[in-house]
Amino acid sequence: MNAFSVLERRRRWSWLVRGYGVLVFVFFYLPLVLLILFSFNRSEIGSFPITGFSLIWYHQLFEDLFVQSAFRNSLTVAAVATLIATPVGTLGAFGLVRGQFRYKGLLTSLIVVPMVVPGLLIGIALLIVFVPIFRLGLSLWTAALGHVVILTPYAVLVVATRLYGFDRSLEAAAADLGATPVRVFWHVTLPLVMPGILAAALIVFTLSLDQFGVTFFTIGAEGTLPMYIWAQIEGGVKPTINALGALFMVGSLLVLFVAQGVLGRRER
Amino acid sequence: MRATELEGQRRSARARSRDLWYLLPITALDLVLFIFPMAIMTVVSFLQVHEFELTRQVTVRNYLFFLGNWVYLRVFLKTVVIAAMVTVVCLILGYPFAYFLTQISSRWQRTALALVVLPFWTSYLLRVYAWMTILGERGLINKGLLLLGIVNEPIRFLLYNNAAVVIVSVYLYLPYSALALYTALERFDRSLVRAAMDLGATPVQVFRHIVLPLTLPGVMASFVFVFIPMLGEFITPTLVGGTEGILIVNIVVSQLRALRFGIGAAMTLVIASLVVALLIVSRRVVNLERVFGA
Repeated sequence: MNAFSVLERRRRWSWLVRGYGVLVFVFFYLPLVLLILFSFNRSEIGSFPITGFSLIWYHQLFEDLFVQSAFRNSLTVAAVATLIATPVGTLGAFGLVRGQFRYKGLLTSLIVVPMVVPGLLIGIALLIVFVPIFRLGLSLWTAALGHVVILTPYAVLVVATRLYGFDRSLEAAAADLGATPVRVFWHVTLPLVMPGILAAALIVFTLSLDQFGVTFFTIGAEGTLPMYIWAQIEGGVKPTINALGALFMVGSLLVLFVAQGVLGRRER
Repeated sequence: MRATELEGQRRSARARSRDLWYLLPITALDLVLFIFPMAIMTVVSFLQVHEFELTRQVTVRNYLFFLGNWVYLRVFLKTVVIAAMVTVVCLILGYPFAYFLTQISSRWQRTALALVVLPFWTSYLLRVYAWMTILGERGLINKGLLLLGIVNEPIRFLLYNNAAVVIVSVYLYLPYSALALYTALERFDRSLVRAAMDLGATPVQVFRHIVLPLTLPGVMASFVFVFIPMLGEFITPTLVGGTEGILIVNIVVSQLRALRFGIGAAMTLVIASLVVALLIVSRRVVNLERVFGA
């Protein structure tokens, strides 16, 4: 009798935990699902009621010249940021993982900190350097520099993760067989680390497309996609932004899956 | 024999100096685009601005403007309180959820974890925006309440207040604390709980004396990933907070838009100092490099 009630209580408890877990997942995904739902809604309001299926907001979005130029700007900034952050971050990861020197902990902190400090604060510091001090005009380039500061640590960490799992005896074996350091690097080290570098590039690129905080104060008149979205939604819900949001989500998820696939090669 | 040994030593010395060269670009980058701007901002925060231009006059008025003004100071304190509230709510909601994650059969665990991380990769801005469609006058909650006949007309006070800021922030940061707590709980030896229970401890005692101390790194990590970014939160208060829900960064932004660089710099520096101080304090407990799976 007693054993039965203990079992019963344990079962009830585990259902409670499961129910709670599912509820939290609903909490995580409900807003995203609604956004996608509203993007197909005919209503002008961009919210309830659901009045019927329509692709009109996608049409409007694709015809909007501002969206097109914002998208181009975003791609430009992300490309520049990726081209700088990935090699700098990769070299940094090599130095941090393989180097043994004093103040390594301090340097690691310095490298990781820009990732943890709120982006807007870094953006403000850069704004003050760019505008009243050096009188540089703000542009896509200054925004790209801001992205580099924040996103390089991510590249470091992704490549470092790959390097920690690296079997250095492979390099030693190649060297013992007479390979020059350059050959060892090209034929052993680089191919093994490459998935990490590619994943880092994809992650930096995706994060750059979504970067708001640091961009807000470092960009000029020509805005990126998040700046366009910001200008649109400060006043309230807009149906075209629902469509843009839905596309943005699908796009970032695609990149994520590609990155996962690239990194997943490690397990083979 | 000795010759090869010497050569090996020389080679390792060369390798060591090469490792340092690897770090040159990133160190230069951080010095030029992070440390230097922060230093400049510190200088600017002590400079007088006259007719929208920085002068060379040194002053503490920028700090007095912020710290000597009760209106701004109150917003700053409120920001700290709201950040603390969000952190605590994330921990309260995060513990049982992290426990749930550890209980899932290993077949589904990877999927479940991926589903927790996935929202990070959708636009942050759009996730806040999505809440406008839920809390708004025509949003999901009002529609539901109207449909159920609980209210006769939409409630306006769901959006544009402090509560909305807390709700949406919890939504944004809960995955971080849930993951941090999950990592701590997963390593945790479950038999300790059963032992304590067998010895007659109440669930509250078990939590206080066993679970909490052993998962403290997870608690500290969620503090770093929730409390600190909350201090610099701008999107959420602006979009769902309205006039009531503004946080300190909203005031910094409005100062900078008015080209008051000195005041903006002083305020940013106060916030940034708090952030860095908290990072240094938590560094003992949270190994940042570890958190990211290195």
